[in-house]
Amino acid sequence: METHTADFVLEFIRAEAGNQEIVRETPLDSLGLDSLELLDLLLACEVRFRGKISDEMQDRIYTAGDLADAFA
Amino acid sequence: MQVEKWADAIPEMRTLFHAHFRELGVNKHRLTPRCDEARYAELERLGLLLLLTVRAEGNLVGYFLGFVMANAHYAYSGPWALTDMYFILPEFRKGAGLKLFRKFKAVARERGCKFAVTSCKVHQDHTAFLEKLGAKWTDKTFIFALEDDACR
Repeated sequence: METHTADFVLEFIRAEAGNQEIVRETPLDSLGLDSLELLDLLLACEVRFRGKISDEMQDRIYTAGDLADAFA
Repeated sequence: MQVEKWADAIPEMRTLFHAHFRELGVNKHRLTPRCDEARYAELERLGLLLLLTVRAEGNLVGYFLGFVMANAHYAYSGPWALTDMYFILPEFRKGAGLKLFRKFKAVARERGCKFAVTSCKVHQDHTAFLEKLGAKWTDKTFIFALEDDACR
């Protein structure tokens, strides 16, 4: 997996989600994304940062910060 | 999302069955949205039932019903998790389907399954979602309506 800061990954998440107001504490549930869009966001992170998040790890990702930390 | 007992969930599931059938049922002119509750209870008693529920403020808004059982044509493959049906009320769907299927996979693993089988309706195609969740499209399923004149 490529190594980046969590802030860098968070910026990528903002761009992918089309929402510049996302902060670390933003619950992914609150983004108004449907299941397919949430998966697309996760997969975009996996492709961009060349990492893979297991199902078990995904279950522990609740906020944008959690997602950013998973790829940092 | 949580695993629930059949007896605890069925009173509320009865109400959701109608919305489920309206949206997803096929052959509606021949079928009624009423399940064999005693049979499901017996399957649970035998340890074969997998029931997940989706609740919002304590109220049932969705469910995933499946079975965990041996696959007779792969004798030594262990139990398989099979999907019977799933439904979430439209107003609660944002992201809930993803959580529900992740829970299905997690519970199936906990119960010793190496394979989990699921499906979707042709008229509500979740192929992209399921494939992105890691499933592989392997079969096509068909129904013969045997009482129809066209069914030869």
